[in-house]
Amino acid sequence: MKQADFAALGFGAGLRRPHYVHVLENNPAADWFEVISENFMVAGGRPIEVLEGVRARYPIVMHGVSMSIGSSDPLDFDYLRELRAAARRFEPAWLSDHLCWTGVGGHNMHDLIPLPHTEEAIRHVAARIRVVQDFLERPFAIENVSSYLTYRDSAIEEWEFLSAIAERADCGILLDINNIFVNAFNHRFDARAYIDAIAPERVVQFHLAGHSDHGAYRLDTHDHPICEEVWALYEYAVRRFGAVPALIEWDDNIPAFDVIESALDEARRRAAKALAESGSGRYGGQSRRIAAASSEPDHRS
Amino acid sequence: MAANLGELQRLLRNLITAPEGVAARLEMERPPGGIEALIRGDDRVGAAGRVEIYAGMYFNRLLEGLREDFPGLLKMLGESDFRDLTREYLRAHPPSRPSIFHLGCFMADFIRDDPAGGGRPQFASDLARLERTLIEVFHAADVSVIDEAAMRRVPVEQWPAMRVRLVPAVAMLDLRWRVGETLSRVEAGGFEESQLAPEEHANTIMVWRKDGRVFYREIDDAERAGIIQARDGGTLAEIFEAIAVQSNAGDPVAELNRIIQRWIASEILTSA
Repeated sequence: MKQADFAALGFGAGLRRPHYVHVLENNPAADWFEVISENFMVAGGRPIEVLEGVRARYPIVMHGVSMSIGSSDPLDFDYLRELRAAARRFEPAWLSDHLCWTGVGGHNMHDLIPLPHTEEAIRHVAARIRVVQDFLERPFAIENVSSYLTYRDSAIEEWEFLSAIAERADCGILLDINNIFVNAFNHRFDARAYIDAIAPERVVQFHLAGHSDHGAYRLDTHDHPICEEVWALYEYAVRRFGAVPALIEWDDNIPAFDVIESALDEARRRAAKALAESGSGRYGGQSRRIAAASSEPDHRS
Repeated sequence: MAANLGELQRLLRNLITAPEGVAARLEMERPPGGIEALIRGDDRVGAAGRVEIYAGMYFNRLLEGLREDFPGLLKMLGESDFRDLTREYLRAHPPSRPSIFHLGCFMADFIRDDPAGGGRPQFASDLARLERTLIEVFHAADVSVIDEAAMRRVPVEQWPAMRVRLVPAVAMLDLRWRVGETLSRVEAGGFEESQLAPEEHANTIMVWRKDGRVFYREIDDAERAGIIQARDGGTLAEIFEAIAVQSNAGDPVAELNRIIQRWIASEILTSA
């Protein structure tokens, strides 16, 4: 699974509860929406109605937080069956989750805990992603997580770990630009060196978000505007990876949707500038506003 | 020290989720070489401090989830007691499901059965049960409902034999305390603390969903009997009879019609 296997969706926003009504009534200028998979793995009710309404107007991507792909526990096939059922129902362009573990011994911590960068972890995770991709019957991407600790056992850098897993699992990379920025501070590495080391053909989506500065460390809180340094890093990433679908995430202190739209406009402006500088192609999806749910997204050729 | 992935994850889980805190738990776990042999610290944040970042996020994330799920309980207990309750609850019922939706599903039973919960008001379990039910009804499966138009399509003479069932998005709770009123007042706001404590009085509350919103109200014995009959799948005649047996209304037929019309307006019936 490489860039060519993922739709060129353009610029999207995370679909969050405070915006449900606005999105359904106003068809705002987002090219697509990303939803947290677990919020819609329920039997029925308002969330399902909302997502059906959104899906009738926009392409969606389902982004999970609980697959725990790096856990030493067995894969949770009850969870995967529910996820697959939701994917069959809502037909996301692709699915994604995080390169982390969220629990062990049946105890789910509901947090994205990093893995040691070891050969053991690479083998373990890559094998599990292959199983998951086959099971879910859809393109799958793995996201780099923000982290506040590193392990003594880690033998390679984070970008080498991420690259090795994507390569061996043959999956896409959802590259979170803010997480790179946060980790670069927390673990003292060069964020641009990270980007330079990732194979362009593996990067299928960007995340852009805000974080909070706690002095001794930075926390990936998604509760602030995207800072200038992250925007600059995004431009750098676009120059390397090209017209990759980008997503604005905001999960706490969620502002009115026009703030999200402003961030989308800024992402479009920055991407166009970076692409012009690098002489690369244009983004897909920029002129799309309302697409019928039945229409297949444009795939890269 | 090289630890295999499973050992490393179990140790970190124990540290991150320890109610007693990371430092105290480290004293118990005593990993060879200390935490510094597993986690890199630096001049900004030490190895244990880095684990503590995750420990803080673990508790606060789950606390926030329970605060959202149990606003009435939070109001009645206050911040400090609710925080203590969360700590005790997580010790007894650590989250095990992938969705945080399930986090509070044992709260009412935990409060009821908690031997250390003597300091909590006696109605707390009933209030938690009502609040948890609101969440479950909110997410219950969708099915086609019998609405007024559907009823009009059925000839009146066929109504008695018409077999119906409750939709999944309806629940009935038998409670010892009148916590429905308490929750309504908490939701409305503006009431003094003294006006919020529920009366101890056996009551039954029906919770249902319509147009994506969840509602609740107390129901009387007659309606309760009808709900039980409908829950088990029954004909309208059987439901009418169950209601009539319990009804004290002067005009039982009018009472039956009132209840059925209300159920249809509430969209709680489906075809059996």
